[in-house]
Amino acid sequence: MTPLTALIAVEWRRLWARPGARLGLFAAGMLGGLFVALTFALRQSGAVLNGDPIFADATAAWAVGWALWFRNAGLFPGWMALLAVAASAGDLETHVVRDDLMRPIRRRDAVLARFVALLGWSAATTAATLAVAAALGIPAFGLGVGWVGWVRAAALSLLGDALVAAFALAAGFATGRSLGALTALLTGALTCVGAAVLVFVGRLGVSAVGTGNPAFETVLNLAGTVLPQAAWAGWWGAEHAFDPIRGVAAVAWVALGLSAAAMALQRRQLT
Amino acid sequence: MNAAVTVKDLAVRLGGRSILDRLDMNVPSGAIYGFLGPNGSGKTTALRTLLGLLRPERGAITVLGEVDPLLARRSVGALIDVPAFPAASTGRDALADSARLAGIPAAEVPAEVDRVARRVGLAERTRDATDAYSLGMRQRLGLARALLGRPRLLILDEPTNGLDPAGMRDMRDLVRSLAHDDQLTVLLSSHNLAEVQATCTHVGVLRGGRLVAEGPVAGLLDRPETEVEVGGDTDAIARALADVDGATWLGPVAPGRGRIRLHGWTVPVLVRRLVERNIDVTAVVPDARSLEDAYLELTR
Repeated sequence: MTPLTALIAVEWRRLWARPGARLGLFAAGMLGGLFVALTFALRQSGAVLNGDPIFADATAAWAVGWALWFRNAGLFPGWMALLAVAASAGDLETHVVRDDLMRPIRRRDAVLARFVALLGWSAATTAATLAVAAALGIPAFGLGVGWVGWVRAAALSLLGDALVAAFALAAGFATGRSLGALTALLTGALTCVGAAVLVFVGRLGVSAVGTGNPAFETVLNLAGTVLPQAAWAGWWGAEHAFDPIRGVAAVAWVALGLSAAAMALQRRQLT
Repeated sequence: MNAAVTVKDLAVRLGGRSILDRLDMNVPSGAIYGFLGPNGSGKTTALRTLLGLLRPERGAITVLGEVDPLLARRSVGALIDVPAFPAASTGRDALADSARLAGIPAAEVPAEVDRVARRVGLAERTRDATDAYSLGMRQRLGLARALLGRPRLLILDEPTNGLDPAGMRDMRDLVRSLAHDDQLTVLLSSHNLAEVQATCTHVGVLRGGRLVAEGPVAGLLDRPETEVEVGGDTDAIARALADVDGATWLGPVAPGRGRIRLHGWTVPVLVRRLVERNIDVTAVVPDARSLEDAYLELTR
């Protein structure tokens, strides 16, 4: 049997051969630099907000944290989804998966290797954003405090990316078509947001009037923490405190997504 | 001869349609086995099922003594359809990737890539992007990929697709050389019957998802009745054959030439009997039955 490490090495090379992956790394570095440069320029401009000089208390740690926030809440989860769909549905469409599986490879390993390579891309782009932001932010603003919290948030953002990658691989291997996978992902994301809104409204209602049913209230509160979009956003606010329930939920969703992806490829007739 | 591939009672359905039904086949070790059949007869489906790419509805498959396709694929190289290569890869990248997927240790990959590229005549072009390859070059690269790791069984689906006449000849020579020099068993599907007749030692003919004939090529070309055109005194020949059981006079086809059906006699026996009757035989042209004739009879 082909060792999984060899398979990961192949997928790693293929991922970086994609122009989109290399462009993502460049964009990640640019994001960190651009954020620090804009902050620095605004502070130097002497602009005033609510009576205080804008960004007067900015530090490198603060800049790194906000660069990370923009990376995660901006287009990088979407970028990850596109790369994962290309590596699954795209590789099915071009018969790359079929030709790979003429070798002594387990189908589940083909899924796992792609996932690990994508996770590597996520780590590289996160590191690029943080490294550039730190390299420019420290001389510009000084070191500052709170680094441990931001490193924790960065680590949790990898978990969020892993969740996106796992779901996108599942959609890609289940549909076998890039457009179908993207449609499924978008539908899934909208459903998750809809569920989150319902939970949020429910919690507001419960806090306002109460239900007299503590078990229901517990379930409702838990749902607000463990639904996919809440688990994905575990990095949000993690610079202050780590919510282990969100972390566990994210790991569980990643495992579920990967299992679904492996099952979808296992069941697929490779014509 | 041991069997490299044995298939028993194989059935495959795709999209609710039966593609293969009760397929039995036997590919002897060391053979060059030509897999023939009309479009849609299930050749490619059968090859994909042997590789474990398609799940059969029922049936038993043994490849190189292994019933698990995952284990069998350690010793099988395959070229199915038009080979696919990852985007933005050079020929060398594609071969190196596949070498690693074949389980070849990283340190041995460069030498193995060079070996297979030379074997198919692509050594000078492996640095080019596969996106720029012609269809013929992609076929060669696909074959090179199939040869990685020195497989014992080579499965080739329409390997001459997209090749020019010189490329077809090279491919035919290469397949023969692989079977003879490298001791490989080759299972190839093709529509080119002349190529199969010239290359293969064995054939299997598929029709409607079932094998309707299988065996050595020579066996398929043999038939109990042969027709022969004979030159000489046609009246004398007709009289000479009027009371024999082994041959039937069919009539003249041109001045001094007639047609005879042999059923029991061979051509040398016919000639000897005519000469014994003092008939001067000026020409003997046996009908050469081609694989195409046999194929058309079997698949009509």
